Amino acid sequence: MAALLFLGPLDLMASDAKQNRFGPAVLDLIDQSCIGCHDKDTDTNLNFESVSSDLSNRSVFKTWERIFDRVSRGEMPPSTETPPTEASRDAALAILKDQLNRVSLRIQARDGRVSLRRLTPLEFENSLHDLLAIRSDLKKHLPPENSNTSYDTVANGQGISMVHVRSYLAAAEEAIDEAIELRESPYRQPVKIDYRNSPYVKMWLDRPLRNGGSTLKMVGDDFVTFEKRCHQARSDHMGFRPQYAGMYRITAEAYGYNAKTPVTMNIYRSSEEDGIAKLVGYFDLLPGATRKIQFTTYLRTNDYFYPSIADDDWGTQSYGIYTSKDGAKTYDGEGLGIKWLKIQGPLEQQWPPKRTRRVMAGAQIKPMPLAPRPWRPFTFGRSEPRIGFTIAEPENPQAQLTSIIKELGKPLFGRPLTKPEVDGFASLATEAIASGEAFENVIRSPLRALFTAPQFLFRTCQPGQLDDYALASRLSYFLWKSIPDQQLLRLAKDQRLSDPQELKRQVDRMLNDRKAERFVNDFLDQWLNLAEIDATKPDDKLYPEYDDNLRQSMLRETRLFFRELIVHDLSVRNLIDSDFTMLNRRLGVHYEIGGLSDERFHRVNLPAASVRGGLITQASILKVTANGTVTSPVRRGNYVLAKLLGTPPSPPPPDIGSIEPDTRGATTIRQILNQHRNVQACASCHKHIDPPGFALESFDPIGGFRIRYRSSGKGDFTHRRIHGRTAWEYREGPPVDASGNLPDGRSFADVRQFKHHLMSQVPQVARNLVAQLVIYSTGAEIQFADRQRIDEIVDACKDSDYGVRSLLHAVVQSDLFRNK
Amino acid sequence: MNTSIDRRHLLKAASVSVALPWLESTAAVTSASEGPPPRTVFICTALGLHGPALYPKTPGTRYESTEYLDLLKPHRDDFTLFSGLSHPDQGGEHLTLMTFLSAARNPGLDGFQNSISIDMYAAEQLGYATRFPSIALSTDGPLSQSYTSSGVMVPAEHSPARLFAKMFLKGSPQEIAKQKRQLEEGRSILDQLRTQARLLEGKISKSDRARMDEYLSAIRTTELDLSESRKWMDKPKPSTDTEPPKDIYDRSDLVGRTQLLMNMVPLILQSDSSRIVSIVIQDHHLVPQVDGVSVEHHNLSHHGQEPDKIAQLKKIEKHLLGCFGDLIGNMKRKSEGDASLLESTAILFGSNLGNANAHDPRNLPIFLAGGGYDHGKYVAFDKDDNTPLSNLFVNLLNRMDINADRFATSSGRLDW
Repeated sequence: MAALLFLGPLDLMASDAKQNRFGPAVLDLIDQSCIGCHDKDTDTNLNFESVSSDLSNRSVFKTWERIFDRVSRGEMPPSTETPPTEASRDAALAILKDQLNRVSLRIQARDGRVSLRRLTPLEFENSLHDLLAIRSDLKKHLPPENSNTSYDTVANGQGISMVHVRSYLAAAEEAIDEAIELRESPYRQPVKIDYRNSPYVKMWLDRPLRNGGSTLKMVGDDFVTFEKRCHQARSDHMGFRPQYAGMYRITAEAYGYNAKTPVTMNIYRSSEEDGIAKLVGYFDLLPGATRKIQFTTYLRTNDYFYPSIADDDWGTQSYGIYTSKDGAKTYDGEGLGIKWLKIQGPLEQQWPPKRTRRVMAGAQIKPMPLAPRPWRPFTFGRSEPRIGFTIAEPENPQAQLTSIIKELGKPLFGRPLTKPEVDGFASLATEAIASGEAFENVIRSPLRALFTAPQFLFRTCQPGQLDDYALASRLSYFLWKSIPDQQLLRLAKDQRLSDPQELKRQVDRMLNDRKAERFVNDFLDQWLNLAEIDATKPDDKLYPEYDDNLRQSMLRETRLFFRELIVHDLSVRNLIDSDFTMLNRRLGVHYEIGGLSDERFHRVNLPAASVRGGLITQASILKVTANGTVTSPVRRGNYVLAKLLGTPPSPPPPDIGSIEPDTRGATTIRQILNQHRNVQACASCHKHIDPPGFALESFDPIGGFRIRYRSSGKGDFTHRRIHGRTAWEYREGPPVDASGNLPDGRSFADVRQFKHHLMSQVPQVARNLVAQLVIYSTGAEIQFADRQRIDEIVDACKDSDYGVRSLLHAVVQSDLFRNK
Repeated sequence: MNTSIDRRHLLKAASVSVALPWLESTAAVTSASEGPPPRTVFICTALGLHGPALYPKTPGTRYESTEYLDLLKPHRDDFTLFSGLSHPDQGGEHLTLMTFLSAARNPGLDGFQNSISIDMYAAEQLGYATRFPSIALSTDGPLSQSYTSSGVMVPAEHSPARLFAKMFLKGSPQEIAKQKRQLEEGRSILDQLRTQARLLEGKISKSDRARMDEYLSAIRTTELDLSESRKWMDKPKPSTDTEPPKDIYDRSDLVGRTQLLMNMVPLILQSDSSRIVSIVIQDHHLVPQVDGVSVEHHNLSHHGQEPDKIAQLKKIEKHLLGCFGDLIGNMKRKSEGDASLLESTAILFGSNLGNANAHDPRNLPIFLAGGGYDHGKYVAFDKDDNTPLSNLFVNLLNRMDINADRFATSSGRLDW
């Protein structure tokens, strides 16, 4: 509390910036070097005549922080202005730094770094999934996060409104519905998807190509398809449509039919209602061999699935099966042959399933005869008696309810519940108990309140060091995106988690757990914008080789690559450039790297001359930094500065026009850009932004290496082969120029040299990664006072050459992580 | 709650095809009929409208028709076309979709916070005078342009069948009893959540109290909403002789899905289920089922000046404009007493992008139809120095008897 007394007005200076309360040094600098442009007539966002210096105001603070940064980085004043003397500049910066630091520290001491943070939709869903052993999509009920902060975990960007409250109630209801499964036991033995005897398949076999048939055939007992999206093979048409949502195991024996090259078997899942086909599994089939495949996937009630072919060569046909004269009968391209296909599920050891036992916390489940199914014509024999389930009336319903609330509440709240809390939730069932409701109904209201309670939705703590329970929650929402497990809660109870050795042990344990995958995926989705992978879809004339398999493979490369850095504590320098990457066959083809046999990923050593290695030359990154038709050096340059180096350039002045794409092959993006790079106002930022983008011009919007732009209009025919035939969809347009000059004068001829230059930035990349991890894990943006502590973390990891796992440990051990 | 307003326009509505049985239960009509209530419909097609095919050269009433305007010829006197309108300080490529109805500045920039959208603002002012204060519809799942004052998106309804059921289907006595029970349950849960939040008070720091208050106020609004819904439950739903719509699951049937949503508009308004409707039309990554179109809609919008892509893009946009034309026609045909439904309804149809090829958020294509305005004009504002679109919003609010002299970035009221 003492700190509070000293706070007073944080604004120590007068309200007008001209009479600057930062003192004469800052005022001199502004007068000499800034005010010429940044006065009331400015076209920029900054006007020194009106900017306040009340640093307690968040946006004013940000403005001065930005001024400090741009001047200290030498970006401002621009070279056209009289440069300040080094001494006057340093004096001004020193005062600014001191003031900013002081105010920042005071606010932190008073309020903590982090405001009251709410769970993200992903964290909400994972928590209930883990708690109840359920799987259904709860996120779909929740409103999307505002996209105004770097991560959705950041408290200051999170709204809470009636929309949220209603959505949480709806999601909780669905979770409870799924958890309390008392219907009769489903048939859980393997079911054969029988194409051989299907009248539906037969219909398509006989139908002519122009009516949508003849794209499949039967070869002996084998089903052969040539379709990219083989709706004719939908499982529901063969009699399989899940009655129960759950995990299902799909097994098959398949081969490439008439195949001289590998073909891919895709399994899509869809439903009539959502109308979107999701690729849930894919398997490469090598020529000359059949392959047994097996995988598990989650199916919703009334979903269907179907196999399809990908990566097939089209033989002599230019459009695949569709231009073959008699369809499948005479088609000479590659097909997908299926010897048999089976599905089994829902995969539950016992019935009612685990989730029901868990939510009842020991209450006894007993069978209950159900009313027989209504009689329908053409059903033969006697109908079997149907047996459902119910919860045996507990001896003491109140006590049973209390124990359910305590047991389920503890992981959700990250601590034991207090008695008033338990009583409060239990009170919602008073009437139901009194009126003798079935116990499965008694618990519904209390659970719904528990799953939407503020103690669950918000991470509460007091300024200062986190207690062990709060630490356990912060840790588990960081690395598992979910509730803490029993072990963490036990350590918290014994107050052992805050012991640095124990904390390190736990971080290691958590990183080795499968659930850590959620951290890798979610962190990269947001840090590197991988969540935007589908924001644009590549033009299928310009990039005909892009498909679902390539899309999934590129995402996996980046995720596995980052995971590899964590697992083996490899240096962040690998983010800039590395001598290995993670590849499967499909991605190998895309990168023109051979030696990979199928869809499974391997760590591959890159040839010395490879343009690959590091993050920014991975296809996923190149994809999310482009749109569907063209690349923009500005966008990619901005990405490298902001995401990899953590030095985002200033936003463009308001209402500046953007570049109008022209893909007719006459002008290149560089020619268009050069025009505005010559304007001084643009050049001061663009000399930083454009060079990384220029280097990455060697890669097209789907991350393929290129020496010429693809053109939909003018240009030469290409020799590239797609689907075993020469690509005719596009032309080879103007040549790519991937050379450039860095602001420090060094020049590069191509992306390899560029990455080589970038290697001098290894500590900066480490600093940025630490900052990103701190923001993401704590839920607060980096504040001025945090900078020094981040530098300390980075310095401490110098000995491990900034190993990623070491950095993770150092972040968790730091004050930034362990305080509010 | 101003019930007299309800009664007076209901008198008018009772004669149309959507019968309003609850009128009969209203004991006495106190005031003389003053005509139907004002309504507003906002429709946004998210990928712009190709300018060269849309805009005439001559402003005023004697503008020459264009490729696109040809499609709206029968309604020439029922709409005004604007150019040179936009929201100031926009950017962030497609993020302007979020701000089309809110006009919040700088979407996509650090620290951006959306603000209340005009439909939600109007709905707040009108309150629970109708069963639904506002209705947001979308061809793209829950994506809407409706935002609360704290910048949270209000999810849209994308199933016309479900909306129809909510508006008209009465449900069995058991179902109604169950719904009431669920509402009651919801209310006691909310009550308990408030109690739990109080228990938490000692555990949160002073600086976090404001956020906890935000949570408590969200609980309060939800309670209010539930209790208003509860009141509406006791009022019989209006009936209609219209067949319930069948949802189209095939997402590539963009035109069909759009048409279905448009068809809901007269039903919503005539039954007085709501007076504020917003519709988002978007399907970035699908090839819409339109003859002669083989490329995804979004990629077509980035046509890069390729003639073939522009031709395909125009085909899609013509269909969407066709849906708009049909809506105007429909609304004209439905009469409410002496006037048509269109007379009482202002329809804003436009896009959040002026030129989608370059993500340009300036010079938005904006149509205004109906609402009793003097139409038949092409109004061209300065294309280099745009007029805030919010000025038009102010006008629309005033027309709904909402006393506002500004909205978001408005600089005044738009008059033309």
